[in-house]
Amino acid sequence: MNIQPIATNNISMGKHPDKANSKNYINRFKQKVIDALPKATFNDNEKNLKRWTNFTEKISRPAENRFIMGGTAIILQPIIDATNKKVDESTRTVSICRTIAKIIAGTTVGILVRGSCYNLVKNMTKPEGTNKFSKALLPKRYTKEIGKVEAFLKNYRSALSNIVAIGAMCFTNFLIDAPLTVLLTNKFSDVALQHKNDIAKSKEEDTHG
Amino acid sequence: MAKPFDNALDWVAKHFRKDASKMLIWTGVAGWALSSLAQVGAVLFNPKISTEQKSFLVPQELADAAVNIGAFFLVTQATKRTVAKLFSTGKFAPKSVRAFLEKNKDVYSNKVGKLDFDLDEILKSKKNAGFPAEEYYACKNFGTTIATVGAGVLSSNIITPIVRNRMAAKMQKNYLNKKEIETQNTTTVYTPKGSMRI
Repeated sequence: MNIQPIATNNISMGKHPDKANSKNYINRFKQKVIDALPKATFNDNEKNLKRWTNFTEKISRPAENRFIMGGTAIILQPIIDATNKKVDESTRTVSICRTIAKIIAGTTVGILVRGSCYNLVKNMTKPEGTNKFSKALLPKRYTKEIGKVEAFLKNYRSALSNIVAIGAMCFTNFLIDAPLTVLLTNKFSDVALQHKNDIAKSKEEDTHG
Repeated sequence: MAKPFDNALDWVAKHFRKDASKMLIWTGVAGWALSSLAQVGAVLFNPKISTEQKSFLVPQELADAAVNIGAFFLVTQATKRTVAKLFSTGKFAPKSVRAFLEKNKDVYSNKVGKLDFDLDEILKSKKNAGFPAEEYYACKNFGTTIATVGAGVLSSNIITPIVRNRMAAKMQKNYLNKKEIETQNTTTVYTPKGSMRI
C-alpha cells in the first residue's frame, strides 16, 4: 500500500501540530482512495479525442447542462416525494405538485435564459470575426491562446455565458420563476384534488350501485 | 471604464479556459443560491400566506437552500477533485500519456499514483517538451466534467430531496406541536376564575 511519508517539517515551520496531523490524516485518506482504484488507460485515438472534446463542450454548455439537471430532476424528485412516508397524504400531494412545478418553471426559464446568453456570447467571441461586435467579449490577454486551442475557446464561452446568465437570472428568477412556480403548484394541486374527488365519487357510486 | 471590463473578461479566461468542470461548480452554486432566494421571496411577498405561516415557511425554504447548496458544493467538489487527482497522478491516463510515462520510467515509474505527483506541474517544465498535453487535457476534462455533472445530479436530485423531506417533516411536526401547546395555553387563559390548573 502506498502511503505518503509524514512531513516532518510541519512543526518546525510554525504550523500548529494538530493542524499538521489532521492534514496528514487527510492526505493518507486521499492516498488510500487513489490506491484502492485500479490503473486505467484510455484509448486516445483521433476519433475518441474529438468525441471527448465535443461531449465535454456540449454538457458544459449552460442550456444543455440545465437540461440534464432538469431532466433527471423530473424523473427522480417526484418519486422521492411520493415515497416520503413521514408526512400525511395531503402534504405529500402538495409536496409532489410543488416539486414538479418548481422543476418545470426552473428548467424552462433556465434553458431559455442560458441558451440565449450562450448564443449572445458565442456571437461576440469570434477570434476570426470581421464586424466590431464579433470580438467584443474576447479576453484581450488570452485572445491569441484561445484562438489557437478550440477547447479553451469553448470553455471560455461556456463560463462567460453562465456568468452572464446568472446576472440575467437575478431578474428572471424573481419575475418569472417564482410566480410561475406558485401558479403551476396551484394548478397541479387543483388537478390532484379533482382526481382524488373523482376516485372517491366513483368508489361511492360502485358501493351504492 | 473599459479597463475593469477587460480585466473581468481576462479573469474568466484565466480561471476557466482550461477547466470546464470548475466553472460548472461555481456557476451551479450561484444559480442554486439565486433560485433559492427567489423561492424565499415568493413566500415572503405572497399576500395569501399569513405572517404566522411565513414564520414557518421562510426558515423551511432557507433550510432547503442550505442543504441544496451545501450538498451540491461538497459532493461535486469532492468528486471533481478526486477524479482530477486520479488524472494528475497518472493513475488514469490516455494511451499517449501512459506511453510518455513508460518512456521516461527511470524518472516517473515510482511516482505514478502518488499524491504529490502532479502531471499539470510537469507540463509547466520546459524539459518535458514531448508531453502529449492536448490528449492529457482532453481526457482529464472529459473525466472531470462527467464526474461533476454526475455528482451534481446525485446531490441535487437524490441527496437534497431526501434530506430536505426529512428536515421538512421534522419542522412540520415541531410546528404542529408548538401550535397544539399554544392552543392549550389559550384555553387555559380563558378558563373561568377559580378553576385552578395544576
